This record gives sequence, structure tokens and C-alpha cells, in this order.
Amino acid sequence: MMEKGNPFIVGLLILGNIIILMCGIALYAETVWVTADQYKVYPILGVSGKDDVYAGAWIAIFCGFAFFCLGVFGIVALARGSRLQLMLYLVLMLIVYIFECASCITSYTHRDFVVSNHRMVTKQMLTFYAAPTAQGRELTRMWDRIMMEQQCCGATGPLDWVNHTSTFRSFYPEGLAPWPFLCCKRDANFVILSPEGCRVGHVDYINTKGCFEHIENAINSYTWGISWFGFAILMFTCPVMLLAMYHYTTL
Amino acid sequence: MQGHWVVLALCWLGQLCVAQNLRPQIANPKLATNNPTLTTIALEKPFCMFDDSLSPGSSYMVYLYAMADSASTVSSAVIDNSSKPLNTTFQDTNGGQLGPYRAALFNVPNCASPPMLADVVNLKKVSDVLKQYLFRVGDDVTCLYDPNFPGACNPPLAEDTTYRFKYLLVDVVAGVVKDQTLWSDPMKTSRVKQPSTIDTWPGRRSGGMIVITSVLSTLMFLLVVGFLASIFFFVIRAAGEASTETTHESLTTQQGVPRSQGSSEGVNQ
Repeated sequence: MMEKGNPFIVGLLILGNIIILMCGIALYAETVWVTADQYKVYPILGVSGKDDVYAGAWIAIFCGFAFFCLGVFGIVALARGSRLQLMLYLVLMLIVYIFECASCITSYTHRDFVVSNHRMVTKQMLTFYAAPTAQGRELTRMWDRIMMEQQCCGATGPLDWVNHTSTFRSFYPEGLAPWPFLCCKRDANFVILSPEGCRVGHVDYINTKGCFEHIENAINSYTWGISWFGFAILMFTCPVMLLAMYHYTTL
Repeated sequence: MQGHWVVLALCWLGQLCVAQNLRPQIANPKLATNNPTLTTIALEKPFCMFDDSLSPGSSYMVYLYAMADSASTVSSAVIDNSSKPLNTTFQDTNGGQLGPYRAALFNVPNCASPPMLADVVNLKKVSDVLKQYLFRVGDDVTCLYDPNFPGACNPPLAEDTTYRFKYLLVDVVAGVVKDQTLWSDPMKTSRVKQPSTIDTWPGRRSGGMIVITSVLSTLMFLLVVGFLASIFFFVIRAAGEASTETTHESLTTQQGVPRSQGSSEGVNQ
């Protein structure tokens, strides 16, 4: 009952588990970074009612830590050659594996919905910017900050505000503010260079760049972290687990 | 000098004026990128258009008339029989739908020193340059509702509507029209889309999503099958070990039973 199987396979499995546990803790750290939301774009997903990119990150936090713990447990089980512990290791590993798969697939699929083109972000911006609701305020704060920091305007450019009606337009007539004042170019003290120039849309007094690129980059880098790194770990874990299953049958 | 008089006389007779072959122009698109908008149209002020009609000593104003370019327009006349400019307002003409209304009056732009468009990049001059160069029709959102509003009201235009404009040179003292431009080319205010009409469907899936989903599904399937197979092998082996053990036991019992029978027989005997 306590025989330890082929020592070569056991060594290989222990090595695999060391790598898994290290990857697990790295995944944990990385997805903590994602949920901390360094680029502060969470409101875009939060307001849309679906935040699967972040849900994926939370699952991956759990899975990363679980991979770490199970890696340690697997090494113990292999070293002791206990059939029962190895069975437990395989069952738990399979559960975590399935969850991690779900995390990768969910966050990447949702990324496609959010940033595969600018339309969803544009529509949301027009609907919620300047709206006096809690969601509207949250999204307005986010857009204001992005437009100020990135010196961009609208999702694809200032004309987003002109070519569509919007909540913003219902509060500010076109003559007064064709676009939010944060679209206007500012000097070092954040004073608008020329309100008149900004109002007519002269290129020297308005930020013509759209903000979608920044949002796309942020969400893409999150999804890269969650999905592709998770994917790599899963690709490595699969043969290790298959080998562990074979090892289990030989005990 | 004679020619000048001839022109003036013609002007009086048949409104055949110097500016008659000129039209109000839409503002330079490099200057005003957002033009025409939903409710406004920015025009170039009439620089040097009325130069030949200005006689020194009199004071002049430029009147701007606007009308919608629609079938319901009754007449496009802006001058009455005594060559005085019409005093129609936005409300009178149903926003220019029925005929021209006076949108604004301003001083005759200075032809001698027109604003340099290159100065627009100069922060100190941009405000003045734009003020001198541009006139924005539809800019005043409050005058319609202000009972004390003096002068010509310039309220927002209707969206997705074509307008034409005309400049008049008016002698302020005599109150008569000295010169006028042609009606401008039709200019259309833009039509906006509701944000709710934006289709947010992502369309084609990205390659990354397809790769991740298909590969991970396959691996998951492989692992579940492998897990079930290992359990299956384990159970088979356990059953095999158990059956060899039971055969051993049955063998021993078979061997043991006759012996016990024998012993019992022996006891009986």
C-alpha cells in the first residue's frame, strides 16, 4: 500500500508541482493587480451591468492561491506515496482547473464585448456622461479623469459629442459647450487656453484624440494578465495532472 | 467716377449692386471644425463685400437674414417697396420656414485690416480673430424667452434643415438698404443620431478568444476523461486484487471445511 511508484516519475511530478505552485502565487499576485484596477476603468464595466473581466480576476485570485496550496499538498502526497492523498490531490486539482478555465474564457469573452470596437464604450459614454444618477456620476468622474490625464476627448474624438444626442447635450446647449470643457486644451495650470477656440473646434485648442485607445489598452492588459497567463499555467498543469493520474494507477 | 455713379444708379433702380454676385460663405472648415452643428451654422463675416457701396460720412450696419430652404417659403424678399429692410423676426416666420427673418445686425467688418487667420494660433489674438471673422447663426439660446431682449434674436436653428443666408448693407441714418449679397448656397444643419441606435454587437470574435476557449475546453475534457480512466483502472485493479483474495479465502475455507468435517466426523466417531 505504501509503495512509492517509479522514482523518476515521482521526481518529475514534484518538479512539476513546484513550478505549478510558483505559477499559482504569480497568478495570484497578478490578478490582485488587475482587481486593484490601476487604470481605473472599472466603471465602464460596472455601469454596463457586466464586469466579467474583473469576475475572472477574482476567480483567478482564488485559483492562483489554490494552485499554490495544492502544489504544496501534491508534493507532500507524492513524497509520502499515499494513494488517498494523491486521489484528494487529483480531485481538488481538477476542480481548481475547471474554475481557472472558466476564469480565462469568461474574461476574454467579455473583453471582446467591451473593446473589440468602440461602439459599446461610445454608447455608454453618451448615455451616462453628466447623468445625475449614481451610475452617471461614477462614469462622469471616470471620463473626466481620463480626458484630463490622457488629453483626449470622447471615445473616438470630439465629434462623438456632436454627431449624437446625449445626456450631456440635454444639459448643455451646443452653442455653449459642443463638448465637455475637459476636451479643451489646457495650459500647465489646467486653465483652458481659449474657450472661443475650443467652442468652434479649432484643432489648436481642442484635444482631437479619442480616449478609446487608452481604455482599450487598459482592458487588454487586464485580459492579457488573466487569460493568457492563466492559459499558460493551464497548458502546463494539464500534462502534470495526466502524469499524476498515471502515477496514481501504478501505486 | 462716372462708372461709380452708374453703379449706384443701377443699385437704386434694380437692386443691381456690386455685392450682388457675392454670397455669404460658410466659415473656413480649418477654423471651425464643428460646423454646421445641430443647431448652429457659422458664417464668414462679409469682408470687403460692400466696399464699393460705402460712401464716407454715412454710418452703415450689416443685417443678416436667414431663411429655411423649404417649399413653404412664401417669399424671399427682405426689402420692402421703399427699400427699407424687413423687420421680420424668428417667431414671425416660424423659424425661417415662411420667409427670411433678421438674425443679426453688426458693424461693417473692416476691409482694410481683416483678421489674419494665421493669428488664430496666437493665444492673445485668437478670441478677437474669431469674434471678427465668424458669425454664428443660432447661437443665442435665451433670447426667445427673454421679454426684455432688444434687437434681433438669433435663436437655435432646427436640426437637419437647409438654410440660406443673405447680408444686407443698411444705411443707419436713412434706414434704407444700400447693397445686398445673393442668397447663400444651401447649408444644412447636421442630423444627430440617438445613442440608443448604436449597435454594440461585437461582431467577429477575436482569434485569442477562440484559441483560449477551444484549447481549454479540449484540455478540460482530456483531464476529466483521464481522471475517470484512472479511477476505472484503479477500481478494476482493486476488484482484481479483491477477487484473488476471495479465491484464496474460498480455497482455504474449502480446504478447511472437509478438515473440520473430518474432525467433526472424528469427534462423532
